[in-house]
Amino acid sequence: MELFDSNTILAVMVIPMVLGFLLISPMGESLSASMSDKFPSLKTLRGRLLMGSLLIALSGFIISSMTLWISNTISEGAGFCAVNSIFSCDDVIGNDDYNKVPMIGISWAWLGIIVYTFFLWILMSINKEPNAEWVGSNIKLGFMASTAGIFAIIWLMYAEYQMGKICPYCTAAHMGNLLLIYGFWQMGKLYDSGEWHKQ
Amino acid sequence: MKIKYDVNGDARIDTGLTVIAIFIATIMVISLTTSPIITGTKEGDRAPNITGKAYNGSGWEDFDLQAYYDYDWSLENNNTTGSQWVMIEFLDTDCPYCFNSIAEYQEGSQYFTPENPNWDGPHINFIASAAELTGLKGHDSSREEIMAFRDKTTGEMCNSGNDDCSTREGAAFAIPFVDDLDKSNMNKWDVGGTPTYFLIRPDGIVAWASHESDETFPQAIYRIVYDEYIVALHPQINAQGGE
Repeated sequence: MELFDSNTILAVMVIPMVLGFLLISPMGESLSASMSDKFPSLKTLRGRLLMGSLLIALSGFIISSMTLWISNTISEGAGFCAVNSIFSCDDVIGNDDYNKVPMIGISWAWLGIIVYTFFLWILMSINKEPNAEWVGSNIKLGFMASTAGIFAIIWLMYAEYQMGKICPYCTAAHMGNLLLIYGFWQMGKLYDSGEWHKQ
Repeated sequence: MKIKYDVNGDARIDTGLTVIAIFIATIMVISLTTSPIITGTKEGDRAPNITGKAYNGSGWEDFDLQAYYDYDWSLENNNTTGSQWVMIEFLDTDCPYCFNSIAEYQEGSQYFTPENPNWDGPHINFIASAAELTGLKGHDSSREEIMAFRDKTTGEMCNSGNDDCSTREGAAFAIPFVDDLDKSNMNKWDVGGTPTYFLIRPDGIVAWASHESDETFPQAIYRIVYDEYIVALHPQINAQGGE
């Protein structure tokens, strides 16, 4: 494996997502204990959920941006992804039959960037003013938007099945969406229980 | 002193501006590091791919147009005379104009090759994509008809069902005929009628499209492949006698 091949680059981009997942998971409390002196917000469940979700959204944003970059690079005629019989983002992102959002016509990469920008906005706003009165509705909005992403994930899985190829970058972006559903759901639960403001 | 909070202030607007800045910065980085070429069928676009089954004289085999491309090709960095171009004709074996003009395409497929001493340019791969223009009288094509049209064999009716396919002008082809009976490739290429021709550069960029031009395909090949690439790269050709 080359030092800077597409898989290595993806592995680096996924690191914040893995950290975010660990923070929002039940293991988050014990894992963040050592870091809570430096990051006091991690002492609370609210802080861990926000920080974890933010890391996931940031990672998803970077990966989505990378898919747009790959898409542009492919259009120039160059390949980017490491060639493998099944795993090939070039074949998936570069497939004109499947790489655009049906009816809307923009590429999936663009949609990914826009959606993750939206998640970043929601999470950063809440993180900045966690006790504002609009936080509850923002959490619901985030949960609904991330849940709607399931339809896109199912459609793209169908497309990958049709092509007989799997795009690792797209899969990582999908994983980020699924993790955010869990993150927003946990935040909503905490908010509805009344524990949110106590933290 | 008591700090006054702006009760109308909203973190959402503040954050919105930050996120928009991140978004714009990201797009700027992508746009500065890439030069995307749109996929389409106008000159300068990246040609859509053609996949499916193609008849090569012995049987129907997998076909992938992209397999012909050399993405590293450029005028400056490559041996232009050694690069392979692609000429595609979208046709219907029942289209009268295709039937009557096919001899020129067959002759072209044998002329624009280094094996021909009269052609001093690169090899041009000729390809035909045969569709079935449904809804028109007599336009009921099939793989057998495509094979008969290509090989000039008897037993299938071409030209709106008026003539046996073996009676068409010109010799039998030695080029692949792609099965596009469902018009999937034709639709992808936005081909409105047949025959329609496209000249594709060795790197997969559309160099010429007949529906955008008054030239015939041989004229386009001479102008683009010969004058623009061969003579531009080897100016001594002009000096040697203006070929």
